[in-house]
Amino acid sequence: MVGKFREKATPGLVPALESGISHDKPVIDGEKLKVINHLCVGCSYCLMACKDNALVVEGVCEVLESNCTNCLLCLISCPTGALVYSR
Amino acid sequence: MGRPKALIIGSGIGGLTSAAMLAQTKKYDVSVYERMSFAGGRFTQHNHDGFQIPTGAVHMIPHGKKGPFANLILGSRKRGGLDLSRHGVDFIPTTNFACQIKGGRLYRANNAFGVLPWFPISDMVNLTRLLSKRAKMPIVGETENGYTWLSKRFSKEFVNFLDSFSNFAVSLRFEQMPATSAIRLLQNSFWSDRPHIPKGGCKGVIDGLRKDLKENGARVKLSTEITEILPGSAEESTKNNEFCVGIRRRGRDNSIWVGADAIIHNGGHPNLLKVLSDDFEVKEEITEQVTNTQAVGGIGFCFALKENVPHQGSGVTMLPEVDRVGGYVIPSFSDPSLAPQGQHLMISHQYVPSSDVKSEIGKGREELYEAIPWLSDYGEEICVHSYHRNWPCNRAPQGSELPADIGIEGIRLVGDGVKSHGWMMIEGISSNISKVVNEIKKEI
Repeated sequence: MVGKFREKATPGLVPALESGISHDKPVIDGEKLKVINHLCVGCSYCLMACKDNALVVEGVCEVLESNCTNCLLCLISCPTGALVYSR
Repeated sequence: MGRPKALIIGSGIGGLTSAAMLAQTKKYDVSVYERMSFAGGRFTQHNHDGFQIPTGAVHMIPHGKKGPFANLILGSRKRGGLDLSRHGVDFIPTTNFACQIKGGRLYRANNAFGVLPWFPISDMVNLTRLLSKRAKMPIVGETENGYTWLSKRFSKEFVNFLDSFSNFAVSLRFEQMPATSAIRLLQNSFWSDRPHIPKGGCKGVIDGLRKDLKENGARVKLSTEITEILPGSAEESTKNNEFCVGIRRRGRDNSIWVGADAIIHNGGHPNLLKVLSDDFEVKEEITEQVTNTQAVGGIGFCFALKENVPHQGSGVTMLPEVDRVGGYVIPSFSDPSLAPQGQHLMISHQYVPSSDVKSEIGKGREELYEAIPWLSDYGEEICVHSYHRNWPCNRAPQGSELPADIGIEGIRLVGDGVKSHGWMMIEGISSNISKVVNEIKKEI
């Protein structure tokens, strides 16, 4: 279920990110990083991956949009699929 | 016919260790599949500005060089170990056996007996009696919960100290586990070596295991998830194998089928049952037990400490005077590489009594500043981790471990859902691995 949701939200994105395209910052019009609150456990792995101070985690993850550069390094580090890149 | 294929699902410490044990025999074709983009699961770390922030485990080997984990990782191959010291894996002792902060004062003990002077003399007598009981001897009132059982025999201060220890180590209070588990846990801890820190943190062990796997020709595939487990006959290409397993690169649509003769699952019972097709029959009592078992949550804070912090030492420190937080450890006093030069890394752990994690975090933070008098002057919070639901502290609570064998030949589970009785944390995981691997060896 989690996997399917993520595929829909971010088709082909994870493999692209992992193959190194991540540095090109795949900005897609109108799409942004979102947190699915009921999936997030607050483990802070995303915070450890984030280079832009764009995340705050206390029990659940929050995205500070003004700092986020959509590099999506957080997305691939999330163990529960709580981070998605979608409209 | 090539070598039998062993497929390991999940590259946590359980998965990698069992893979390494199978690979060292050179009799099996071993592949490990990991859903996430890094290996190690909850037994590794992220580098955050030079601080090695653990992903779950707190850089601790609770029973040091005498426990089951050390036997497995550092033990010689003749004695069933992996002998990973060849790859630079080592454990460094913590500076103390245990510590506690009480009334704002720090007490340190250098061995198990050093703890006793902190408590009334009657505790010393009763503890000696408890520890000298042999592991298999029946204990009166074993069906009680641990807290009631211990309260009848020990002073309140001592029980609170032990309770903080249990909170720190297994994320449960003694009242949440049967007396028999509590007793074995204490026996094992008091009879063992002092806690150790893996050199280079948890990742030091993971890197050693990966080197060993590489040396023995086993593969670790990251960012690859398992979609389904079918009988081998389901696909033409896998008809000579026992199982046909669907794997897919994370985020892609198409999966491919690979054959396997044995499967070791390191991802917990619910996840295994989810991918297992209906062709396999799992006994109803096992599915019921799995549904009724709740994963155990936990919350951990990481603090950056100044070099001249008043607590100089890496001993596990209990905080018996507060409700939620069990204790903390400053592993960088044993291995300075875990924090940037001139700083230290402190990790705390607390159990989660309610489902409101956010408020538990707030209360835990208050407790830490209340119990540790120097924290506000010398520490700065780096981050807070919470673990629950499908990314928990322990997939099954200590004392109610699920079976490693769910009744299907060739499939076994390892990891923190199937710990052995009375062994905590990583020791519980590893004390089960040899048994599982030996069973698998017999079956394929």
